[in-house]
Amino acid sequence: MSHPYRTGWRPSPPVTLRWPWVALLVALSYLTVAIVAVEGCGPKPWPVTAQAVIASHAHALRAADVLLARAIANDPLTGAAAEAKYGPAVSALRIARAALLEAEHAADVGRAVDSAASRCAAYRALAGALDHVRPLTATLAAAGVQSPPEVAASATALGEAAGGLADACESGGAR
Amino acid sequence: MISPQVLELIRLGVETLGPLFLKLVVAIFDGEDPVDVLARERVADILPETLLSEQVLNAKVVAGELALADLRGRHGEARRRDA
Repeated sequence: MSHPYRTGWRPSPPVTLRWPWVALLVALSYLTVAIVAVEGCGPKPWPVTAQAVIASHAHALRAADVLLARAIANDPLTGAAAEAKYGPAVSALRIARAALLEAEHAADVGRAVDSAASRCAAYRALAGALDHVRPLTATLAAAGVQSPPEVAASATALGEAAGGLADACESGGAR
Repeated sequence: MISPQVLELIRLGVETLGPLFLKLVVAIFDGEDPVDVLARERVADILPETLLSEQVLNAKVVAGELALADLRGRHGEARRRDA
């Protein structure tokens, strides 16, 4: 009788996911949900749309935060080594959160005082918040984890599109 | 057969995307506009002041410092014993 461990069965290797890839995938999924929801439900007052986009980004960041926390917890590194590896990524998340809060504040001001200037300021703040995705992906890559170039490219395109919207608003208001 | 990678991805997707999707689906069934539901959410409620990753990293840093202090303590004790 053959030994049970010599029957050709092999233990499956541990599941390893490149967590930033998943985090960014989740982030883009949230963004897709937001875009579909915003586009599919007809025109809204712009502060409502802006707040919905901001909230969907916050959800995406929360997902990234959960996955980053899991990656840190699963990593055997501790102390200064862990801080050196993951500190910049955590810091980038904090900066992105602060940018979203700023954008939210701008949308609140725009909701209270619906003027062209407040609308432009809110667009600019939103563009700034979206721009933080770029350093975030770069920081994640610097932590030694790969992310597909398409994600960085789409984040750049999104940031530029938001910046263009803010530029158009400001030039329209100046006329 | 579904690979473990895909299963893990689905699990993570449900864990992270699930609550938002559930909220939007409930809103749609209640006849509410999902955009209005999203627009009512505040960043501070979604993302806590101290991020989860920050808490875990702080715990890891403290654990590393404690381990280092423990190692130094043992090393000093061994040296004293040898002397």
